[in-house]
Amino acid sequence: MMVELLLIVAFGGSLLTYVLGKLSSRLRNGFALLNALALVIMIGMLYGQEFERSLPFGFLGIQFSIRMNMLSWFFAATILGIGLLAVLYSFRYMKGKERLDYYYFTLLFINASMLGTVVAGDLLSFFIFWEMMSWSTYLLISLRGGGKAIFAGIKYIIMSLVGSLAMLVAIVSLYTAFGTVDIGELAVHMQSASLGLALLVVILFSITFVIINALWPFHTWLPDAHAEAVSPFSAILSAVLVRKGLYGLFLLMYVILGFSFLDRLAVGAISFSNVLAWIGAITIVFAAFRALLQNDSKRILAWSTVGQGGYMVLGVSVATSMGMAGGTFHILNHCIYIALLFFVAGAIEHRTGGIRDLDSLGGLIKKMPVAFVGGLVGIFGLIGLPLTNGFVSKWLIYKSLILEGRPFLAFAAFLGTWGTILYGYKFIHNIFLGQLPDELRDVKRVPFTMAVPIMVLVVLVFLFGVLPGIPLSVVNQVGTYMGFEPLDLNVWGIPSESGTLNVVNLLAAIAVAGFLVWLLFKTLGRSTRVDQSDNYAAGAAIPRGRYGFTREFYAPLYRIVSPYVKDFPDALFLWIADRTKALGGMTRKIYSGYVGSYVMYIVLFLAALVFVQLTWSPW
Amino acid sequence: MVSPVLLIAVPLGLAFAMPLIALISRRLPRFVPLVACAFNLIVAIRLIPTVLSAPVIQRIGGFSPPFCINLFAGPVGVMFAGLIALAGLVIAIYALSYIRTGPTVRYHMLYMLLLVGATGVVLTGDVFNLFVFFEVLCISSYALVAYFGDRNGLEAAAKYLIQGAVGSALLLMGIGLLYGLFGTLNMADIASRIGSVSDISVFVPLALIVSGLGVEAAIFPLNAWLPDAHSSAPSSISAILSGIAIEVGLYAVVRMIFTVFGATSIFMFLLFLGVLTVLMGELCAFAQTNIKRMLAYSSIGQIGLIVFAFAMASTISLAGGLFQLLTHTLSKALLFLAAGYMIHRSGSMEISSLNGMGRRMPLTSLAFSFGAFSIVGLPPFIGFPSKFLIVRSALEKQQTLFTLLLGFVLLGTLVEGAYFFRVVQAIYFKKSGDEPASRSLAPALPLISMLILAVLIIFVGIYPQPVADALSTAASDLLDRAAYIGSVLR
Amino acid sequence: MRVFLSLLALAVIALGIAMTLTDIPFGKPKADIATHYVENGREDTGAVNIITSVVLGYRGFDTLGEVAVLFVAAMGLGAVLATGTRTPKANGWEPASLVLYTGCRFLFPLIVLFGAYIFIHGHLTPGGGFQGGAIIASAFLLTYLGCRGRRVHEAWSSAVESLGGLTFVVLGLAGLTAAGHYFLSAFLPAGTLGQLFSGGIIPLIYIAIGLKVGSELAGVIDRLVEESQ
Repeated sequence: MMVELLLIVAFGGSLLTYVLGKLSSRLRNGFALLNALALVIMIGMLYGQEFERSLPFGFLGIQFSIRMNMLSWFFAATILGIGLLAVLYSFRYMKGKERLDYYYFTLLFINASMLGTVVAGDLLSFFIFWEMMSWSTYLLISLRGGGKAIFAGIKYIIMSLVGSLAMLVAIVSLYTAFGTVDIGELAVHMQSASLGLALLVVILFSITFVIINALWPFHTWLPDAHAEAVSPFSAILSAVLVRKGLYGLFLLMYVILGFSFLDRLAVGAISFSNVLAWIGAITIVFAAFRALLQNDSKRILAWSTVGQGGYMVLGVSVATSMGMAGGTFHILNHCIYIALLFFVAGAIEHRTGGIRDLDSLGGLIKKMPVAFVGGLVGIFGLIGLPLTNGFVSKWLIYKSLILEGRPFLAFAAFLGTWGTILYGYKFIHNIFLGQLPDELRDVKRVPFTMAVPIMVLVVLVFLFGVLPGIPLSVVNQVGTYMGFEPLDLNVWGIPSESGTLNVVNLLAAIAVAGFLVWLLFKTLGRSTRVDQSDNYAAGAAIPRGRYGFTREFYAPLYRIVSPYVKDFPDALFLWIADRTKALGGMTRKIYSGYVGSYVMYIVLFLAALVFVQLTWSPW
Repeated sequence: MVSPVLLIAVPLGLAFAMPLIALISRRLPRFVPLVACAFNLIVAIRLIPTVLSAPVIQRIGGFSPPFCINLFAGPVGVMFAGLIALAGLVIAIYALSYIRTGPTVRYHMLYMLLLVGATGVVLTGDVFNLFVFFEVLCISSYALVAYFGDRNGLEAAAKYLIQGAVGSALLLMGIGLLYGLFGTLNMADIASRIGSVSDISVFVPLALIVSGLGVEAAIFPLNAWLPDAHSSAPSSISAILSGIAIEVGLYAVVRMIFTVFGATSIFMFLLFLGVLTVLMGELCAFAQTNIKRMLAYSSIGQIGLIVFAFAMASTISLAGGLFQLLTHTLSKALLFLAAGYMIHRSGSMEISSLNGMGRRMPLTSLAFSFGAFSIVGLPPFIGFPSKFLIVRSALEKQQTLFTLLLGFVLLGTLVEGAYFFRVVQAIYFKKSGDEPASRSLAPALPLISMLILAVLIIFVGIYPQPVADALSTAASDLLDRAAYIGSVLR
Repeated sequence: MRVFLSLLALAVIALGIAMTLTDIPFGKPKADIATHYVENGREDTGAVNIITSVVLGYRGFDTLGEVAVLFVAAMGLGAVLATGTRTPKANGWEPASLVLYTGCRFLFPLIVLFGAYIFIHGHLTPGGGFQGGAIIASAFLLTYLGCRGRRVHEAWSSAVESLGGLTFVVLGLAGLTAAGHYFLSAFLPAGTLGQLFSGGIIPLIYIAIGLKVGSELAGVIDRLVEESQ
């Protein structure tokens, strides 16, 4: 009953939140937090359980069922965890804004629908929850109002609708072929499926999941949507919502189709996994460069979400235990640090009165230390510095790529990381370092309820980086569920030969290196304490106005790469939308308003019918 | 057992009595449609269990069919009658406060007669009788389109009248030829004799009748009257025209093709026509900036979808088509009703004038969003099960052609989604230029009718099983000609 | 071009219709329905006028529908005209001459009487409710032309119209309850063939239709006259 209860609490809670909001805003906030907390506790109690059960009702003769296993649990846990933090974070962030009842309701509703997708035991209820997730997300993206947010919302929902229509066709094809949409039964039936059907289904599902996971060339909705949404929701979008695409891919590739079938879906070197891997690689490189060109704190993060999705797909499509573990673990890690970064960007936005433009920020390190720590740690995780969680998962992905003999893919991954370092530095530098603009003299610290989620995530980044064995044991179980060999683990990492990873050694090495550096500075360096701005200008006299170091960051690089990294898919989609509109305008001319033509249509239609019948008598 | 003829006779009698009632009190007539529709709804609901097991043949005048006119109250007919009564009731509640100016007594009279005509068309088993009720339906809608008496309305009504008259003339010619060929007007009788003459002689009346009825059914390219008429009419009338009138026209087309002519060979043509209608309708709607025009074009698209489903001619596809029809009636009625009050409030039909409506009229906006989501086919609204059934029936054909056409239809859905989502965004997220967000609800009665529709949309969307079951029975009623002929000409 | 195209289209349609017509033998009833009506019409319905037996007997339901069509048309006209700008009735016309005036007033009752005769005898002689009603309406038209200023009392006219329609429906429904459970079934005794009081409900219906059509058409004329002023 636990899973049903989970869904009831999730959906009921969202509705109740709305109702309570009409009574009192404190009550609503308290209840929303309590609801999110209850869900986290409940999912904690479900750890390690594995079952599948039909529900007592269905839809058009199709029985609904729910399932719980490590794969579902893993995703559910990320959803609910981030959901809890986002609710807590929202209290201050959203304070004083309009339509809060609506905001909390939709936020919780989206979480509930996402939860529904991962515990759905049949594809139809999966689809229904998926659609509810889609439209409720659309309803929240544009909350801020204004042209950009509205554009982002419509872009998202249209692309998402393409995905859901593709998925609907795929699911119904499966249903007509096998008479069932139960995931467990389909897995059995699929082994005897014809290649044509399988190909159709795989392509259609892939379109859906690639769109929602924002892989190139269907990434175009993501940067807009993530940047324009309110920050706590951006965190949810980036951390968990886009990863529903990966959940779908897992489900499709390793639960429904299985290894043996995936191998059959290959023409020479072009296999499904290969195509996916290359899409991932392109995504990584493309997104890294696009992120470099951004000047908006949230847009940088949004593009990094696109790029990190590429890493996950790379890991997953390699299809070895290690790659899989890397990919899966990266989902968790990315979820932690990107939520952290969005929380940080949101805190800055909150305190500076909505500034996201990196050119107008700077020097906030002393004003907002918590944000700085959060941002720094988040960027460390994003880059994958040792001792942060991002290192471990990226390590696994690199290593599996190298072991599998995929040098080009590995190179793409490295290239992406270098790009990440560059834009990560830009993010830190332009916000926290450098000169404090005059307008930001009296920026306040991060409020407590916003600092708590940030600090929790900071701790997690280090915890999972230093003790990767803990999350990896969960990841391992996810892999095992999908049929992979478990990795050999201990709490510090992976001791076995092939993928050796020992954080103790790393820790020791870093300690030694740190000690050496400290020694170096202690003996050779001579330091004096100076004012922050002195430091920034290297002691020279600083101009009174703005010393525009942060502007046009990486300008030379920008000039070199910008002609090559135009967002061609985006331009293409916009062109299609534009053409469709023009086509609509042209089509409309048929209805000219002249009634003589209208009658003519009727007569011509009839005449054509009669003529065709008289000439060829086809009917 | 209640007789199906009550469904026609009682509202007709009440409509005739309306001038008398108006003499008693000018306030009374507006409640008459409520009474009539409620009565019809009850009768239809009571009839449904009976007709699901076997159709009820009501012979008028007590002579045996083919000599007399008979009503054929099969599952499709009675469900349609119930739907007409339901939509009629809801929209009548809405009109209680919406229609305040103009010759209101005549409005309610014409409204009733429109419903009578629609009910007559779906229940009759005689081609000429169908024509007569069809005329009742059409003529009352011409008049109602022009109800406001403004320039647009009159112009639209005149265009509608001209095209409708051409359509009716074609229909009458077709019926005349049929009578000449077979010497009978009874549908079942014609159906049983249809094989006795050469193909071309059957085809010409078929073409005449399909084109004639197709005008009212808004099949491309016969639907040019629709955007004008639906957008210029009062919103309550737009709702009934979109939700009932064109569906009834479509029913007549389907009944003719499936039952009377048994013209299976024309299905492929209809299939393409349906897809074309979807694409035309949705594309035109996409380019609209006038909300009611957009809704009107969207109706064309929906009709295309229903034709597409019908033309696949399997039990599931017919059930899907009928389900889509139900979806369209409920959702489009809701959309028009909601749009009606929003237009009333903003004073303009431009979509841009609806900006920020979400704050000013929260409940009406919510109703509009429900309708929009439902039309696009998102769960958990009623549009989803119907779309699911249509997709399923197309894929069950297991032919590339059908899958391809389905792709085009879904493309239409995508375009539809695009323009509906655009409007929903404008309502909720765009800031309105004028007046700071002062709330004003629509009056209580329209809200009640919107609420009824919204609840139905969600309820059937979540629990579609009984509806789907009933509709599959209804689908076999349309598919099984032999049973139709047998049950009438016993 | 346009004309050519339309001519071509119409020619194609005409050709199609012509080809269908070749299948319809001229002057020969193809089915036994018509024969059935001719042979059994009198016995089945009690109306000597076979047309009446078809119009009100076998196909009475159509007639009800047609009454509704006429009603709708009149109402629709009223609704559309009522919304137009209503100028005050400034009757600037020259009054008719005394001869015309008196002649019209003299003819009026005669025409009405003739109309009533036509619909009352609808089951016996050619003609019926619609024809009789039209004749009655022509009496009102004459009044409008000859005796300007005289108007139909709107409330009365609509009351008659309403009662006429209502009678038709109620008679039909009475058939549903009284005999055989059929709508519009002949529940009154058929009487002797050829008598005035025969044919069951048929004369009653025709009277109702006659009154209804008469008042309706008069109303239409009234509205049009008003509009033209």
